[in-house]
Amino acid sequence: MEKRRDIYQAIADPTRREIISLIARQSMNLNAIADNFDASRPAISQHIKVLTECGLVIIRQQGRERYCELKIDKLKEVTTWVEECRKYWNATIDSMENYLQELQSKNKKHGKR
Amino acid sequence: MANVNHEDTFISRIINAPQELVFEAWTSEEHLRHWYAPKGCTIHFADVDIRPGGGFLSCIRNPNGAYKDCWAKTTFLEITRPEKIVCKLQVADASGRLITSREAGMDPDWPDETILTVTFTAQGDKTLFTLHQTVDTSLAKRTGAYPSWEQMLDILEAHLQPTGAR
Repeated sequence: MEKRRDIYQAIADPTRREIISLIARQSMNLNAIADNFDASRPAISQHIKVLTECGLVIIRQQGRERYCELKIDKLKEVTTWVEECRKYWNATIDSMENYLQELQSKNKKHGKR
Repeated sequence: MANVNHEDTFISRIINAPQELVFEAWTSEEHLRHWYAPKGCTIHFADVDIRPGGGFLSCIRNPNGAYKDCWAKTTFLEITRPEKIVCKLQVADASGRLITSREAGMDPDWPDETILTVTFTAQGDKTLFTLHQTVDTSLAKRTGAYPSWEQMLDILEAHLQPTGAR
């Protein structure tokens, strides 16, 4: 059973954000990533585990090495609410337009200005 | 990176109604009751006091949809007749208490607080309408230091853009 994590948990931590920045440009193996941090290797492993659990990172075995690769598309989800927001307001403004149309045609019928 | 917030929503439209009427539609409860929700949803208002510093509590219900009732608190920061309205929108519960989007059972990535600016510009008997919604600090709060968040989006942007395109 794969744990499902919220992507915000993944990027709420500064070390995890740095890991993301590191592997955004190229996949790296675990040791290489750990070399960039003062934290212990197990601690870095744990961070990477969180990143894999929310689908931001996938680990590929290449020979004896395990490479961490960033799934950049997943990071895009962070901004999807902007789209949701656009949809919501567009639907609301549609509703305003309909209402104003009705209102104006009613007023014309009643001879109001 | 441009100073435009990644989370901002911009919409503009020509509305087939005079400026004064569109402004009225946004600032009178009588009008708002008829339209201030997407199609298929109903809107309910409480504690309506439309003036600078005042506001209202509203609930959008989606009777046939999967969404729960969505309560929001609106506070008017600026009302300039007939061309501009600025208000703060906050996620709330039915009693008007401010809560987080997570507590409201919404997507946790939905910002708890946003600033909405709408403008109305007369174009003959039509109106140029613009809407700008900006995230306040909720995203920053949730994701730690704001600059790092921005850096992250920079990286993301660099990846998503074809090389050389700016």
